Amino acid sequence: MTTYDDLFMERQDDIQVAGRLLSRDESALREVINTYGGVVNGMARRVITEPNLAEEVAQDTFLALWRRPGAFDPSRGSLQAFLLGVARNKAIDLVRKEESLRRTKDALASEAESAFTTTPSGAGFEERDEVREALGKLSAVQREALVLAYFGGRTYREVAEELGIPEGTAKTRLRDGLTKMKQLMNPTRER
Amino acid sequence: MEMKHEEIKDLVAAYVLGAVSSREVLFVRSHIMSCEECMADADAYASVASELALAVTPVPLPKGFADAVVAKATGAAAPSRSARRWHFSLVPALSVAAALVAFAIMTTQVIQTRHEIDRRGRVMSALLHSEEGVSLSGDGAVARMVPTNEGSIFVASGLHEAPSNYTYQLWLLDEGQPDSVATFDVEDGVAFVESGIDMSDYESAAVTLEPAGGSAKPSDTVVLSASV
Repeated sequence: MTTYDDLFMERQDDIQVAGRLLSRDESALREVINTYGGVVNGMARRVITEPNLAEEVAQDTFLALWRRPGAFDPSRGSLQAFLLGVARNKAIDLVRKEESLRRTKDALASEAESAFTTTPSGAGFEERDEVREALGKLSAVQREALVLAYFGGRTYREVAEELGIPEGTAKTRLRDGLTKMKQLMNPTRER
Repeated sequence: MEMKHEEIKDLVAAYVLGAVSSREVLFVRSHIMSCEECMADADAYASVASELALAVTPVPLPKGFADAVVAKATGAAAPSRSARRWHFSLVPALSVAAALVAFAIMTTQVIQTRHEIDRRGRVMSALLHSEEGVSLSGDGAVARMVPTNEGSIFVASGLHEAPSNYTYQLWLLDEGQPDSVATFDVEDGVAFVESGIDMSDYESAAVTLEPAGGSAKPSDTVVLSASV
């Protein structure tokens, strides 16, 4: 179980790295890329079909951190969460401009399915496993809507259209899905 | 476009997931900022939504990726613009009006070197931390409007770009009566407005979202308001 102290220590590393980035320490940028490059690219690849464009999004994400390290606020979440948020937003902006770039509903669904049915990621990745487990416990329709919205970059209207459901139902599934995730995730975790 | 509390309450989860169109997003956000119930919902959902990112499987980047990023970040390519140097000290706002005009010019140029980023950051920081004028905030952004020798300067950091067909508009308020200062856009999270208006006639300032071209009177979508 992750305690508050564990989180505080983990954030100390983030705070230190942010400080080094602010003082224009290139080695800090390299460290961040080495540590988080894989997941940032992974996030971009979840949203965008084209690997080269996904890589550009990854590059833009790290450049954004370098240009404005002050945008990362350690009190609001981890550096990883921040980077993944930036990457996802950039990727979604791209696919909203060019629909052909976005992952199909089926590709997203099968990925989500395999994500929570694969074997545990191992030590150090308990959080990932916890999220995947929680996703697995949602109803199929809640998971489908959440994945389409979160990773697919669809608006709730597009979710409704693509799933052939009323807009109100799409909104409800997203709301209920998030609510259930919150109940399933470790209740003692502070964010 | 008016959206009632009941409508927006249904949209908070979608909003937190980023699943609301750019046209609707500012109206939703504007309501959330002024509604305790929706704000609490948004906070609760936001912590879960950011955890979803952790479900992602890493995909390795090619060799040389880090080198390429560092090269771009540090502007390894020599800049080809004229080497103007802006010298200014960061003392009371009244004395840096000329330098801030230079800053305004700077923001319209492509910023490529880290020195420019640092200088711009320092000027922004000085303005935002100044004791002068009025500070505004809202929606995760901070701003300040500062009187100068020539009128006033407004700077904001952290605003999102306005959706297409919309623009931001800055207002000065005197006993609740608004006078328009200017419409403005956001570039790279930063907005900067210089005007000849004398702030001393006014008690407060605000930023609203308006249709492109601006409006004669402010809409209900207040994006930044003066901090008490």
